[in-house]
Amino acid sequence: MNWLKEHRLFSVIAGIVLVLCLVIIVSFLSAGGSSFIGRGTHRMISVAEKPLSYITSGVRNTVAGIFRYNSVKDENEVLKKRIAELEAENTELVLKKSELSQLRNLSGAFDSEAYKRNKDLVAANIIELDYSNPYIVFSVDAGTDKGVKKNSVVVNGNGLVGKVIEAGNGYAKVVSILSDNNNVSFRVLKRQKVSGVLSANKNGELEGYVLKNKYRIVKGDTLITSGIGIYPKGIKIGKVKSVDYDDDRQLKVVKVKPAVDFETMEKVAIFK
Amino acid sequence: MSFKKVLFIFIVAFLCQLSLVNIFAVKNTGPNLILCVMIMITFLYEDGFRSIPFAIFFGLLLDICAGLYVGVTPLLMLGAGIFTEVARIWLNTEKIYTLLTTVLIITIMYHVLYFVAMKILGNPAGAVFALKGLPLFVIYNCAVCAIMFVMMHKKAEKYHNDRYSI
Repeated sequence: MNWLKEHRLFSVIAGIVLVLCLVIIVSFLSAGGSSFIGRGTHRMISVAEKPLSYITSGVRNTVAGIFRYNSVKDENEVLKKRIAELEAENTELVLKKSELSQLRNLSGAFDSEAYKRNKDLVAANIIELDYSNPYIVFSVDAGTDKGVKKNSVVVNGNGLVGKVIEAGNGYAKVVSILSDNNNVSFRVLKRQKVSGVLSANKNGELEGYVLKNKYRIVKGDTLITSGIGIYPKGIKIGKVKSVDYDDDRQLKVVKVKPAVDFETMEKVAIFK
Repeated sequence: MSFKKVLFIFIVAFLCQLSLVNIFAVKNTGPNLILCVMIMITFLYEDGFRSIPFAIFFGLLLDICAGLYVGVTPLLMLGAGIFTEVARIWLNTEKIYTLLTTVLIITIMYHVLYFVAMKILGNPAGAVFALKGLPLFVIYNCAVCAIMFVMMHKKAEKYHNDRYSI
């Protein structure tokens, strides 16, 4: 005890380090979650951050809108043409029975129960996001009060975002598929027999392999969740960027560009 | 610097860190205001080491709100604080280039150690991914600290004009 008193500064620093190491271990064991004190604190911070996040979002959109006016105008013209093309294409498809049945089969990719029952989806805004670390972890303004719980699946209009690692009253902490340690099981949208497993690789990209090499998978194929694991079936994951054959593992290795643009994301939907 | 003033600066920095700072983020990278504030107060004020507990506390809050695991940021804040205090004792705190050198070293160490901690905790991200945002992170932190230096250093030097007087 005398030694500790004599070396007070060292003792204080060592004590803090010890406590923080314990906090890290507990957080690691609870997969990124925090204690009831942490959850209470997070709840209070979320309330304070909410108006600031709306201001941030407003400013970003205004600034982006100013700089993107011309490109938005051009994009609008392109989209108008595309809609006209798609409408013509759609009429043709309706007329062709065989092709129509094929389309029905294709729509089977989106037969997830969670998608069908809209009441199971909760909309949320991103309120806390720390860009000073490279891992994509953020908090949203929907929590246990709206039925969100740990491992709830998070999506946005474009596809799969990630999962909830901690939920409290009025907030939920979300980890993206690019920063998560877990795997995502996939199928190819057009050829549902082709399935495999994806996970984040060391470059922060989605990488995975196909379960059966005999099936064809090519660059540009759209991947959706297969329904195995926590992710419901039919959520778009992304498009295949490249396909290589790994001689060592004797597997087809695919690299995938996520459907979601994590940089511009502001709103998400959560499956309860 | 008074306790209340330090607390106020940290609260503002923390609230901005998770929202308003994101306006300036490029390629998912932005400055770490808590780290910058801690470095500046510790570097410029003789009793500035008192900001380290604040940095630890707000680092903890940062992890609770938007960190993969809780506890890594405050641990690194402690390390950065000790390093800054040592730098303050040994370096000329009136010159901006000594400050920027300190910020540069601390930012690199902070970012690398953060990646190492995440790797130990099982995150699959590799060094190339984790460190590709480092140059931008260094630039942001140096810019924030340079702006804060211009705003703070004259107030911080209590006897700025009579340094050589008897």
